[in-house]
Amino acid sequence: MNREKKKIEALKDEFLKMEIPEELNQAIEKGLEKGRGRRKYAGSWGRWGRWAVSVAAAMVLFVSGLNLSPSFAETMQGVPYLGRLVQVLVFVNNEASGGEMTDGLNVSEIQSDQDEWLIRFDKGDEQVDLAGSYQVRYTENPSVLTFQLSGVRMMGAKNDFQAMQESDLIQSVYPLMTLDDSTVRFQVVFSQPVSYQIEEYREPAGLRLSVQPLAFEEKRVFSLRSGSYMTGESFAQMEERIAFWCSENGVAAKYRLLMDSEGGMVIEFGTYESEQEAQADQAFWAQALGVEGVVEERDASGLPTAIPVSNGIKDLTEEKQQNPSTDAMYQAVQISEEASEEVFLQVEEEGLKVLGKDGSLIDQFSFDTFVFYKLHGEASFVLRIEGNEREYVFSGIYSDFMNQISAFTEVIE
Amino acid sequence: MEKHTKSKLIEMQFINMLEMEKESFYRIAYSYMRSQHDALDVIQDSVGKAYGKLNRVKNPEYLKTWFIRIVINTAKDDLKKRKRLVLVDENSGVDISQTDVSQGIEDNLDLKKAFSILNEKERIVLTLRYFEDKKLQEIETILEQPLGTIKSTLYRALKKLRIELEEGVQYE
Repeated sequence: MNREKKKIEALKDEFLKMEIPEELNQAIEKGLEKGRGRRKYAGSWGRWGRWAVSVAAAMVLFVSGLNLSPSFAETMQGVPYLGRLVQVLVFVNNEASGGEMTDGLNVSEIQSDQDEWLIRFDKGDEQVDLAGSYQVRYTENPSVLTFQLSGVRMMGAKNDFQAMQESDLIQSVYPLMTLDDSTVRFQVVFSQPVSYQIEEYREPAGLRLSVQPLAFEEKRVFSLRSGSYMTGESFAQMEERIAFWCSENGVAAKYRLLMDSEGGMVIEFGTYESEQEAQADQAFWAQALGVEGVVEERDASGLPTAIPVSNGIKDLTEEKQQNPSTDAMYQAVQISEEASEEVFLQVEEEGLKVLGKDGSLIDQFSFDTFVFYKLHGEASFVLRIEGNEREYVFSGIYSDFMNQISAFTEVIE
Repeated sequence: MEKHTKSKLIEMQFINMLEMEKESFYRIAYSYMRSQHDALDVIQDSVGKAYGKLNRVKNPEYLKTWFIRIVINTAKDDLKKRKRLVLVDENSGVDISQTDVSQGIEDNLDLKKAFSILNEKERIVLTLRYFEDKKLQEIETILEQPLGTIKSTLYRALKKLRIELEEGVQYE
């Protein structure tokens, strides 16, 4: 490089290292607010206009403070206010994260529109300034956004999922059972491929998701998946076990959870263009985890079909592999909280069977003669059974198993 | 519906672009204004103007070029206003472009000095060409000026900085 060129390079270097003032984000944010204010409220920008007014108006509120006229205040009520833009999420390898470490939040509300949704938080009925740390992952075939919200203990907005599903772009929205008490997860399954954007807001905390349909042609894909499970702790435990195995063995945890067409939960290890690719991975997982996944051909934007676990697909949980029965619903439990001996409970139409590890029948409790109580244990539930002047206590029971029992008899809480 | 979808898509691209390229936009504004405060003002105004006009963007491919043009035009207008203010301010009679800075340029050239030697047109052409690595054709589109004008501005800028690139190099 000659001397002259070096001079230019030195200047360029200095130019690129120029100090960027912290206020740059604020300037952009203010510019966006101004720009929104310039938008017309009618036509295709209608909804934007509504947000725009609220942002602009909220700024007026801030400035004018107590000089607010009552009629103006009245018109402001019920107008959504976005808050201050913290960031537009940048997805790397289809994943992005943000937020601040916190605890005790509640997802208070999800406001729905045809193609945009606003997730709000609160804490003990008080507005929260910053969103808790969160992760969002995008997967395809079908397009799914999985939200993992840490520091969130309640999903008060569960009822808003229904309104979200009214959008043409969304097939289903549902929570994912998570064993961590301070994290909630939910999935948004789109009815077709979409482009998506997530903005994080503060004061008040919010996540705004907006999506746009992408042009697409339906194609067939080969999905390598598990059978269908009832949602609940045992499914969540199975997921954790797979995640643990992946991290122990340095295997990228590329699998995802999906709800099947009938509400069962499925672990999907991947979707593939060809059956051969799917089968190759099928062999891998069979060897790694002893999982006999199923290769299912379906529409790329479709949901997995419901395939009962008992239909020849080996279960992923160790306990269940040892289980004497392959057809019934059962769970490994302890006879009492102190006892170390494990037995299996099996739900049948007429009653509950207690089986030993070798499959031998230890005891049975008919639903007609015994009364069933659900008590809270440490990380799971305790089942107390009374009848025939006897009392039995089983601990380590998950809510989904309790639900199975309640399908046949009343369980008193 | 079609129109709505397209404009929403452009809006998303616009916000993404701001997030990704904000520092570059700021530096361009700075090279024109030469002050942090003024550069921030220019960025804020430009974002506001652009956002309000997004529905006029026909081709999202040129979103960035289009926005840089807005930044530069906003900076130009801003500078004009400021110059008018300077005229009525008795205390600010020093025209920095007239300051004798020719001494020691060759060996001691830093960005601040370089920017003070050049006028705003020269600064922006130099910035776009050498610091932001834009092609001349792209600069032509951004500045909406004929190629010849850009080339001669660039030539003048380099000459003022006493930088003599090999024949032809500067116009690559």
